[in-house]
Amino acid sequence: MILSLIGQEPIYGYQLIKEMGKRSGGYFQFKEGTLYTALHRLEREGLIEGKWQRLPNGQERRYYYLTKTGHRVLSEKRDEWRGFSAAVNLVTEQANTG
Amino acid sequence: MLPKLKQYLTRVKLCSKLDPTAESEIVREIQTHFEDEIGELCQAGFSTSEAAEEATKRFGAPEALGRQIYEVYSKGTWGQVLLAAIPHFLLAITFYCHLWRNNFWLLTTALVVVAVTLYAWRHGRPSWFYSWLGYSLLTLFVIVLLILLAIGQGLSRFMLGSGMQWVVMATYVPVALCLLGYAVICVVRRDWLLASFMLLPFPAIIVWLFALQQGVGLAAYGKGGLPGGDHGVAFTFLALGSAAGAFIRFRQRLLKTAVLAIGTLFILAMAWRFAESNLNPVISLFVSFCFVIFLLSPCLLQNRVAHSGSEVEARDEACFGQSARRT
Repeated sequence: MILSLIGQEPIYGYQLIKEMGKRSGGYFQFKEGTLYTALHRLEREGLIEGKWQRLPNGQERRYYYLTKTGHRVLSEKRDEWRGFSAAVNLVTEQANTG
Repeated sequence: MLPKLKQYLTRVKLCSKLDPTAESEIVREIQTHFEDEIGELCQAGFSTSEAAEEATKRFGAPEALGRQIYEVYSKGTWGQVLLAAIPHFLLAITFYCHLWRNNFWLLTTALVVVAVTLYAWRHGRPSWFYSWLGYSLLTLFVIVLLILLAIGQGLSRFMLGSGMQWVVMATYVPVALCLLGYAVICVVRRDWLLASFMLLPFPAIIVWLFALQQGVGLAAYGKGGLPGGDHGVAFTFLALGSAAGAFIRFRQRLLKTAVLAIGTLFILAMAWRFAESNLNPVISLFVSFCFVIFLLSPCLLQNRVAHSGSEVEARDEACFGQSARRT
């Protein structure tokens, strides 16, 4: 999910939490510190890259970008998720109709 | 900076035990998060202190966050593993190729070790740096000993009797212990485990010197009195290099501690065996355990040093001041 959000546009931590909450209708709520641990883990794995950028109001924020490896991994994970959710849907729909 | 936030970030820093560069990056990032969060909460009607309280609550327990951050950064890359093992391997080569009698090689090796240590010191003090720092300290100890011996020899020749050598040793031991203690305290401020990592070669070297003295005698060894002795020492340093590499590669603190403790016991057993010491095996084992305790003793200093207050406060001020200037 984090990779997917970063893949859409460069984003910083606080923005990412807000965006995640907004898009999931408040479903995904976690301790905010955990997000930074996840971001730094992804950065260490070379999937994303953080860069400090100045906002129009003069403040600086650390924006995250998807790297080439990150794009590849995101694409793989999306395919994996599509396959998984399709299989789950098939099972649950059969259960409902049965 | 609000006191609540300052306290929170200090606790995160104490548990994350990062090098100064990574630490300031992360702290700065968390600080900007708090700025956004507090701004939004204040707009929603919270007072500044209530907003700070709420923001830190949403962020989670600082200790847990610090530990998570530590685990992200504690696993070194293969390049860092190699860098941590190199000083041990240099010593292994020195003994395997019988180069320890070659002054040029010894001097070059010492210079390389000190140069790399200084370079890493100026470039963020990564974990592998502490491996080199241990050998730099050893170099310093040898230099201090040589200087004191030279002074002692001069004095005994021109002024005093032959008992001067004992005076030199009586001066050297406290000086060396003070230097070592100071270095350990400096490193413990970041992480006691790194101080133990820095001390890793010390037990092996002391045991080798002691065991050789007990066996063939150091003077006889110097004249080549122990066949295969150099190879034994080389294998010890090879094992030390492997232990250093494993230490850097492992993520969990428990595993890192286990590598230091078990690795040292194994390496010391090797040293006793190769040096053909005639010491009672039970006493050898007891001495080895004492060295493991010595190696892990910096953990006893952790709380005293890290919570001494002024140092942490000063670091905070420097960090927050820098961050405020940037924003």
